[in-house]
Amino acid sequence: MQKSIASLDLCALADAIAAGDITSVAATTVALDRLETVGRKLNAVVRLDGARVLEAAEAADKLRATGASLPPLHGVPLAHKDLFYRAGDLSAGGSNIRAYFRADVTATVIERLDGAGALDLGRLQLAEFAMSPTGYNEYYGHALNPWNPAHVPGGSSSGSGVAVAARLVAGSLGTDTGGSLRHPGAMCGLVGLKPTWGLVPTDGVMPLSASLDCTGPLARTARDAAKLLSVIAGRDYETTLGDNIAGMTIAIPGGYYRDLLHPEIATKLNDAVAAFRALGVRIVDTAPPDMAIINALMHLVMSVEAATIHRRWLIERPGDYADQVRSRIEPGLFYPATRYVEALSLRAQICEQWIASCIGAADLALLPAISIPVPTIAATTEGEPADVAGVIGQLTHCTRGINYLGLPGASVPCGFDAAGLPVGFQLVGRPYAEATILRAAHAYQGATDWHLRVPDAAELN
Amino acid sequence: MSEDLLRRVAAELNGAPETAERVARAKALVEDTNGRIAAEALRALPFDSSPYGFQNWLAAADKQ
Repeated sequence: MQKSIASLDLCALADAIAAGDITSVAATTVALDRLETVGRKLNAVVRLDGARVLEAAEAADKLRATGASLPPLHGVPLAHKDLFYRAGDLSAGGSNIRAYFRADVTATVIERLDGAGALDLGRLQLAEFAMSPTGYNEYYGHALNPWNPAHVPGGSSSGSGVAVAARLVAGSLGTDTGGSLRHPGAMCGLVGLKPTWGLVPTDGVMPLSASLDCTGPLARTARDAAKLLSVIAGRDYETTLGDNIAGMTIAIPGGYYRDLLHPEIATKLNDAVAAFRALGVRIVDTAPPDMAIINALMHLVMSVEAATIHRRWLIERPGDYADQVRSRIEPGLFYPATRYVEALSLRAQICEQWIASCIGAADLALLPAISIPVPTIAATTEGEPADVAGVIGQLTHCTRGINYLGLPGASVPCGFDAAGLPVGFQLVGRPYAEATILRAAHAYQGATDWHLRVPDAAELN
Repeated sequence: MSEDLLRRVAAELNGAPETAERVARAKALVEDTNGRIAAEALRALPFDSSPYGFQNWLAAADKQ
C-alpha cells in the first residue's frame, strides 16, 4: 500500500483522493513515514508537523464524505522549502542566524495552497539563506542526491528536489534567484519551474534578492508543475497543456551556452532535440548576445540586494555565516548606488536583446540546465577555493542570467550520465510563456520515460 | 578602484569592519563588474530611463 501511494504523481494522487480510492489520512501517513525514514536519511527534512497535518487529513476525508465540491489539491500532502513562512512557525532559511525565527505572517502562496485543499506537512532542507547552487549547508549538512548520495542534489531548493525525486511528497514549492529551482530539478531528475518574475507572489517568503526571487514548483511531471503553478499563480495552466506541439519552433542558442558543455551532456541534449523534432517541432539555431554583461548585472543586483538585507548580521554576526555564503553576499556592500540603479534601468532593453538573439521568431529556447555532470559533494566543498568556485560557477553558467532577464524557465529531465546522475535541459520563454514551456515539456514527457525512473534511495524499487 | 577605497566603503559607509578586512578577495570581481556596467550604462542607457521600467515592460507584455 505504501509503495503504491508513494509511486503516484501529484495529479494521480489528487485524483485518487478526490475519487475516494485513497484517503487523505492514508496518503498523509505514508508521506510522514517516508519523510521520517527515507527523508531523514537523505537529510531532506527540517521539521514536520505530524499531529496538525493528520488532523487536517481527517477533516479532509470527512468533507469528501459529505459529497461537497472539492478544491484541486483536496487532502494532498505537500512539504516545502524552509523559506516559506507560516504564522507562528519557525523558519530558519537554512541558517544558524535565524534558527529561532518565528514568522508572524503566512506566505500568500502557502495560503493559496491551503485554499486549494493541500495539506502542509512541514519544511524541507535548503542551502544556507538560499545561497548555493549545490545545496551547500555548513550548519545543517548537505541534503543528499537520491540518485547517488555522494553527489550534490542541487540548490538552493535541495530538500524539495530530494523529497520529490525520492517520492516522499508529490510536489514541493521552492524559490529561484539564480537557478535554485532548475538546479535541483536538473540534478534530481525533475521539472523545476521558475516563473516569470512577479507572476507568483513572494511575500511571506524569506528574501534573498527581491528583484530576482521567484517562487515556483518542483514536481515529477510538467502536468504536476502546471497543477501547482495554477494554484500559486491564480491562473489556469492545466487546460492548455494539450498533447500536440507539432508546428512549434524551438531555438537552440549556441556560443556561450555551449562553451562549457560536457560531451555527455551535449549528447543528451542532442537526443532531446531529436525527440522534439520527432514531435513535429521545428528547430532553429540562434546566437546569444554578450553574456558577460548579463552575468555582471545579475551578480550586482543579487549581491547588493542580499547585502542590504544581511548588513546588520554582517556587522553583528559575521562569524555565523559559512564563508562560502558570506563571500557571495559581501561584494554587494562595495558598489555605488548609481551602478545598482543602472543595473535595474538596463533590464528591459537587455532582456529584449536576449530574446531577439536567443529566441528570435521561435516560441522557446532550449538551453542546458547545467553544463556539466552533477558534481560530488567533495568537488564542491574540498580542495582549493578557486577550484570549488570554478565548479560552482559552471553550475550556474546557464541559469543565473535568466533571473536578471526575469524570464520563465524550466528544467526537464532528459537522461542520465555515466555515473547514473540525471541530466536535464532548460526551456526558456518570453515573459508569461509558462503555458508554452509546460506544453512543450508535457509533450516531451509523453514521448520519453526519464521522469518515470525511480532512484534506489526511494526504497520503492 | 583601490583596496583602501573599498575598505573605507565597507567600514565607514556600511559599518562592517570585518567585511573591510576581507576586501582583497572581492576586489577583482567588484572592479570588473563595476567597470562593465558603468561602461554599458554610458553606452546604452537612455536619459529618460527608470529603475521601474522593467516592471512597466513586463506589465505591457502580460497585457499582450
